[in-house]
Amino acid sequence: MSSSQLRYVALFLSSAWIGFMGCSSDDAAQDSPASPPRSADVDAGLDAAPRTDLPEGTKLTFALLETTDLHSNVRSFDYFKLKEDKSIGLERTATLIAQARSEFPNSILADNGDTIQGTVLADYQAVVQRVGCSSAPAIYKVMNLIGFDVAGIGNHEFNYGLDYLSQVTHSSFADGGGDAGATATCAGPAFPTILSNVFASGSDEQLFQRSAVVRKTVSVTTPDGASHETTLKVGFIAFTPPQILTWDKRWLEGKVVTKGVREVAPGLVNELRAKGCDLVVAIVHGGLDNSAYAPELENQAWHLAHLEGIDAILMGHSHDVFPSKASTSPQFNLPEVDKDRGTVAGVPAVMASFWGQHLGVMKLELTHRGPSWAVDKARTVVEARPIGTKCAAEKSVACSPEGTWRTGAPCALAASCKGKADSERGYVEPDPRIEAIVAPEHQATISYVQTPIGTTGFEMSTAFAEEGDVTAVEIVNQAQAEYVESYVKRNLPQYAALPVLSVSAPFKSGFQGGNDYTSIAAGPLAINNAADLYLYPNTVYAVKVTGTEMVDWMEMSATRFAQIDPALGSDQALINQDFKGYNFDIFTSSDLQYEIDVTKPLPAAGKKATGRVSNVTFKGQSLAADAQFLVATNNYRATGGGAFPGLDGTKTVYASPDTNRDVLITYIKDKAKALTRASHGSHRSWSFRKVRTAGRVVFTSSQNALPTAAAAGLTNISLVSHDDGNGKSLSVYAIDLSQ
Amino acid sequence: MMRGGIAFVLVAVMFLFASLHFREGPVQPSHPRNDLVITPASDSPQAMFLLANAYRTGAGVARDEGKALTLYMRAGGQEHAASLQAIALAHRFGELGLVPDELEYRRYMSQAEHALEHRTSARPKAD
Repeated sequence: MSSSQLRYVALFLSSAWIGFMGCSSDDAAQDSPASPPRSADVDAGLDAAPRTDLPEGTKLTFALLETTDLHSNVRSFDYFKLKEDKSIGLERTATLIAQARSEFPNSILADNGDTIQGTVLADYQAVVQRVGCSSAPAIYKVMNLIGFDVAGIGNHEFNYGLDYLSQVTHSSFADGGGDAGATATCAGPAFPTILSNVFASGSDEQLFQRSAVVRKTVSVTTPDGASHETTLKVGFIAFTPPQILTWDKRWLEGKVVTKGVREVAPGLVNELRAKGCDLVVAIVHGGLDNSAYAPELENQAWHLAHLEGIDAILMGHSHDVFPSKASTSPQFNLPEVDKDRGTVAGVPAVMASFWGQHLGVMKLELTHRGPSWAVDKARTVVEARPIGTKCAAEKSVACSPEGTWRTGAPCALAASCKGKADSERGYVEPDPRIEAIVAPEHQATISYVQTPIGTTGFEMSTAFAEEGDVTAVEIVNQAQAEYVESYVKRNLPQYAALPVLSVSAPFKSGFQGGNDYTSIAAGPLAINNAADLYLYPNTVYAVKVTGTEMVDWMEMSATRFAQIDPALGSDQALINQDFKGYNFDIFTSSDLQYEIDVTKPLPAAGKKATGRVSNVTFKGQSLAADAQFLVATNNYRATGGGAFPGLDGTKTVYASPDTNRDVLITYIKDKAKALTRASHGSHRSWSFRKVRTAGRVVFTSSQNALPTAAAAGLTNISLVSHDDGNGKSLSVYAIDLSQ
Repeated sequence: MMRGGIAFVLVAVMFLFASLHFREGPVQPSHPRNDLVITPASDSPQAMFLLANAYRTGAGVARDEGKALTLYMRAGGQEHAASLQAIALAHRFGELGLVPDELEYRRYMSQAEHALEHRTSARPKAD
């Protein structure tokens, strides 16, 4: 950023503050009808009598409502699975908001941040088909419809860069590209977006509006029982984790600096109080941490609560629920944190989880004393209201036994479990207006996700992955191996001579029933199929291991199988259910071959697995103990997930920023394109050591799947019974280990 | 008893190693002898994660899924992605004494994803 640009920003922000910071109505900036409001004073109601007229003892019931970490989850929809997901979505939170506003006519709705990023919809609008200046991103369109009053800026707002952020928040900060002021008229939130602790480099000026005053016309009750209207002025300040400088270094380096709550908040609180604000609320995109204070702390709400003049704290960032009496989250079990009542050092605080799953509600009882309002802390009620609930005996467990929220109002979920079994869940209905106003963006995103990135000439399935079918695993391994090989060649020449192998697991292995298997029919492959092939949000890691360590890896994976007694005449289960399928790492390289002997015992608890893997060869030669390999895997496994021997994070040679899923998509799109069984779905590295058993060796898998096994060349599998009797759409199969 | 004690010390040494290895920046233990005691008080989430794994599997210590979960939670509280994923998977598959809960699974997996995004977005893209 040039000095002239910095001066421009400083001048702009300085002049803006004059308009933004005034708390009296005389100072309120006027906005042209065509522009979104730029003033920090948001007059949300009609002109009302000055509060100085209010008699001593006048009462006001007021509520703060919070959403946080919406991450652009507008609809109750999973864009990878391409189906409704009632457990998420602002369209359902909106129903809770409407109900809360009915309960509390005097209320302010605030969003905590991490708003514009986090779904395919968000990526589509920011990167694939960038939303134009004349349109707001779908999430802001909906927030405008709902009528948010103010919002903080989270860390993920910076993920797409300052240029995009400037545009969609119509904030006229310079981004180093000379865009200052150019986007002020772009569509965006019709409410102030504020951030108090991020500053333009080389300037004392915040990048965003540093605070906001929301003016609300409220109904109060004077001691004589009469109702009057007056204006309540609530000041807001907002903080985001200083770690944005690391997390989004590529966008922010040299352009912004951050400060901590102790450095920033007191001055702003005094400023807001001096301007006549009745309450001061802190929006902290962070949770609680009582470590010794440092301006760089990621979660600063605990320290903020200890500063003077903060009436309430709206928290976020850690995707948690607060208050929650049962919470085991360490941050909510710190000293001075009342996780039941929802206070931190006596200050009411709320965190409304993420993706629109909760609405934070903070009910404040105010009494007018002298020149200001006093909060009756004993009568403050804080709760995080969910959009969904477990059901028990046709009752919602999210509601009180009487069917109310904590405030005593009717619980919106009270009737949602009627007629439902305990295994089912109840949800509030969505606000029907929202589906309509985001329909174009929603459909465009679905079309994008369905865009073919390649084709497969064979069915890709995990139904028999544990019996040897690699059709849904090999393509993942190929993508990971190619990605690592390419990176090593360009950036880690010291490892360039090492063979690169890859492992992945059949993540969908029937735990939840017959539909819990990856199943992609022959035909076009689209982006959403990648989510079926790679279930978890991991990133690609590469580890350097020896031949011995690789065998340890295989041995650990082999504990997925139970011990089989060849002499036993009755049925024996093949699968060891104590070792979950997500840990069953599979190599799929024709260079690497090994056998698993399931007649050998499983290791005793706490002992290393050994003795089941044999005849390990690499390129036809017995695997040397000291041979060295790079193995592409994921962050979970490489850092110790699953407690595989030797994999504790120390063997990582490359921790990539890219997700396994994205790597897979890119590989199919750019490299594999048209997948064939011969090239992408038939290279088994392992096989069962042949053994004749007196009884059957059985396992369950999806129903009607024998053709899938046959197509994969698994001719030793037969159907035992169509239904396993557990009501989970699973069949029982047998595998002949002698073949 | 003797073998158990040796194993305990081995795990303690591993934990100390991990604690030192995974702390950011140079670390000089001020009381190295005390650091040999297994304690979850370390500020290294990776060390807590590895110790949780040990308790989970009973590797060198008495198997204790409750302690494992507590340590995963503590590490997860510091945005340790693998710990959050371990908790998420435990909720999905009903491990570590938890009952299967799809929503809790999703909550923790989203936190794991969130943590990974934080840890990785600073690094340059490979391409």
